Amino acid sequence: MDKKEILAFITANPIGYLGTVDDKAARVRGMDTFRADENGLIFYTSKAKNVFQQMAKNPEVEVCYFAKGTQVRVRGKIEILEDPALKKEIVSKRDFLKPMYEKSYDGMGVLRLKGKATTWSMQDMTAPTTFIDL
Amino acid sequence: MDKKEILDFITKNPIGFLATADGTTPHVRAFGLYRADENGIIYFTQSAKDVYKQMMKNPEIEVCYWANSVQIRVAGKVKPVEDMEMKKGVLKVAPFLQPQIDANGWDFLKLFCLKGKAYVADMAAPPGAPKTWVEL
Repeated sequence: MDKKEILAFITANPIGYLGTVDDKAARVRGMDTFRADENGLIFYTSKAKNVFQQMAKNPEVEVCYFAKGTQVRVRGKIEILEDPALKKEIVSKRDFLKPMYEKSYDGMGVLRLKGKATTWSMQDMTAPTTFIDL
Repeated sequence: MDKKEILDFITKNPIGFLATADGTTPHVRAFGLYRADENGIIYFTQSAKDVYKQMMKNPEIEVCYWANSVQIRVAGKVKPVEDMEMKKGVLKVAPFLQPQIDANGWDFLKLFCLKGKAYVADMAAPPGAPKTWVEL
């Protein structure tokens, strides 16, 4: 897959499994990818969550997407964005967030990952690992 | 969910996302399992894989399962398992490993056990609410 195909795969399968390191221990949970394009992958969470605090302390993450025997892993350092327009846009497109942020967006964490991706598929399990900058 | 329900859920939805820490860098990949029961969750991999080397260096892992809007995370330390009968059982469910075992011997196939604690996500809980863990 090239960069465009990888971004299309993530857009079509937006639930990734985001790994962080908490001190020495690995952590992983499902995470909704709000957008995947030339500018990186955009995620959102609550600043009160452990995952946000882990990323604020150690921004190295890896996100794994898997669908129909194809796996895409994206790794890199995640950045915290304070972009009121983006927060507003995310909440406008995710109804379940509205009750949490109707008074203030302060507690909302938005993050961007501009990383490198590696792909794997069941059809070609022995292909060498290569990385594509996203 | 109680312990039995969690093990049933994992058995029915056996593809998890297994995270390791390579120093301060996390890695995550989809991962099948051999068995999930009272004795722990048994996984298998190959000795040449990065994931195997990462776990031998730092056994603190977490595996995330997800199905029908339910997420279960299992965290703990993995232990290597040496059990020839179990390796033969793994080969039955993963016959694609045969050429590697023919070429490299049985030691190429590595088994490990996660006896951890599980956290079932409660979507209704407010952010930052304490998590309830179930010992598996």
